[in-house]
Amino acid sequence: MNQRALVVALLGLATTVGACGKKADPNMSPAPVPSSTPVATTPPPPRSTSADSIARADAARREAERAALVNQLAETIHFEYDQFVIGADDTGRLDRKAAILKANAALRIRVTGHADERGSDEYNLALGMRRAIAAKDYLVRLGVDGSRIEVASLGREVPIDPSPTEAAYAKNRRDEFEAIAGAQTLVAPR
Amino acid sequence: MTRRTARRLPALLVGLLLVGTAAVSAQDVERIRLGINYTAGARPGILVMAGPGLDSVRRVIERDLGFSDRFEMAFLPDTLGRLARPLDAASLKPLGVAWAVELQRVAAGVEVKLHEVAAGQVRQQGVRALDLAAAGDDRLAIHRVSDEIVGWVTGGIGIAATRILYKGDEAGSRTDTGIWRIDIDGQNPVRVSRATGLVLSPAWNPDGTRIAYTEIRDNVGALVIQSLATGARVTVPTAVSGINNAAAFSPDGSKIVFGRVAEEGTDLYEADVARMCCAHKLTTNGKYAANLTPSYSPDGRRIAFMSTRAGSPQIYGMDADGTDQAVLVPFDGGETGSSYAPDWSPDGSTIAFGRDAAGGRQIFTYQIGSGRPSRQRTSSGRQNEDPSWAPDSRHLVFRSNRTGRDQLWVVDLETGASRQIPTPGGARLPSWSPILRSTNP
Repeated sequence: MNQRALVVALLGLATTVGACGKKADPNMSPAPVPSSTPVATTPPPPRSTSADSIARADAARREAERAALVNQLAETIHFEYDQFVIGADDTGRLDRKAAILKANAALRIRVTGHADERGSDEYNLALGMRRAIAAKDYLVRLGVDGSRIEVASLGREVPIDPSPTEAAYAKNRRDEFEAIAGAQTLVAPR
Repeated sequence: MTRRTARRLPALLVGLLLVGTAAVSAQDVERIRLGINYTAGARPGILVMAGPGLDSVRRVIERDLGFSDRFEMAFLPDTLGRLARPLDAASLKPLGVAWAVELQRVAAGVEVKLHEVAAGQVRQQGVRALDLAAAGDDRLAIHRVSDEIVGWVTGGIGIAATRILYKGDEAGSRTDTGIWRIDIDGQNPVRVSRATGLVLSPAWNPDGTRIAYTEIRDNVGALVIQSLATGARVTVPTAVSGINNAAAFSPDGSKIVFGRVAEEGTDLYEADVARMCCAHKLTTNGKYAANLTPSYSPDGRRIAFMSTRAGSPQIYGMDADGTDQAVLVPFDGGETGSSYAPDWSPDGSTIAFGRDAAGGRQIFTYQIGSGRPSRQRTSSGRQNEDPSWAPDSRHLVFRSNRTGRDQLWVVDLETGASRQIPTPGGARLPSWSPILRSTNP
């Protein structure tokens, strides 16, 4: 019955997080990981090579599952110039985040809005905040408890790409998502 | 561009020979230049000459008078500007300059004389104690002499003894480099903020002894007031969440208004910084509206600010207690672009702000109550932002990317002349100081 409700152990798996393609956000903090090599406290008996390979395959699958959840949670969404409306391209990304949040009641996140360098720097702080609030409101409309979502803004101060080009501006107008609690274990949404 | 320079040079050469300075070579003549951004006849000509040992002081004053934009300047190389004997101002008559400044070393410092050339008379003089090797903060004493000369000749306010605070950016770097201070002639840049977080939005207190800025750490922006003399910091008691920024001191220094960027909306607050208490909200427009970047009128009774309450960002005004909120800068012709970051002129007459125009974001000014449309004051580059008034209410410093990166530029509203203030790195969010006295740190 609970076959698809995978409880993914975080320990020992987070090392895969950093290598998950370009969507991995450099500002998305991986969940805390012990610095020592995490090994199972009861290692599988060495006598069965068949069992070993099954265990390894399970571990690899769990790694992939968890990495996918972490990536979906961290996926950045983008905005038009001086706008804070959620784009049609990004509703799917927010829908997946809402599902993950609903499947993991202890999970709390922070949404941080950013702006490109154009415009008054101080206005851009307010604009980034409105972008963060827009994402939060979207998630709340999908049934996520608002108290689990913090909002913040860094205006234009932390660009992904500091070049003065339209392409860079487009990358910099964004919301970033970060787990701030409850990410030690993650359950995939059903 | 004017041909007047070429016409004048022979006369200048003759005049200088009459003064009896060192022999003038053709190369020297080539190096002489007169100001070119002026309305013919509107500005008096002036030159600065000095006795032995005062070349560097003379150059500083000459540049200061040029940056005042109130004179038609004769910039002299040291060989021409150096006096071998007391100045005979009558000998300068062929130059057509109205005024000559003479600097001579005396026991107590430097004697400054202002000659009215046509009358052949000294109109003002005084001895000023000057450190001739002045660097850093001591250069302000020389700048004060420049401002004295501006006052003597024009009756106006000189701005040489002022500085600009700004947020410095390392070129191409995402790392924050703090709040910097620079003399308005581009000398003496110093990083002043003592902060570990990301800092923004510097502002001067009314007597130039303290600065306020925002320091963001862990997604919370605290409002810090720092003494320039001691570096001591205090944090203004505000709400514990959100980013408190874009502060402005009231003219009497007792209060501070600022914008708080928070989930419940971006609104203006006032706090008592004499007693360090009592932050309270002045605007309320809901969580998707922003009220930001306040600026006091010089009498302290009104506040200009940006608000998005009606949709597009526009410039509003209110009484300092938050009452009587209304549009301050009218929408012009129904096609007014978004308008940002107002600054109220020290003479109370005018609001400067950034506005979206056909050529991108430009600096505009609006004369309060004039009924006339706002005037566009810049046209170079597509991003001109965050104007701040000089104490003379005729110069503005602002951020512009016209060179391809954020830099500080100054525009003189009388002549339209603009110049860059060269900073060590990228620079934005400028704030022009009040006149800095000898008691200032």
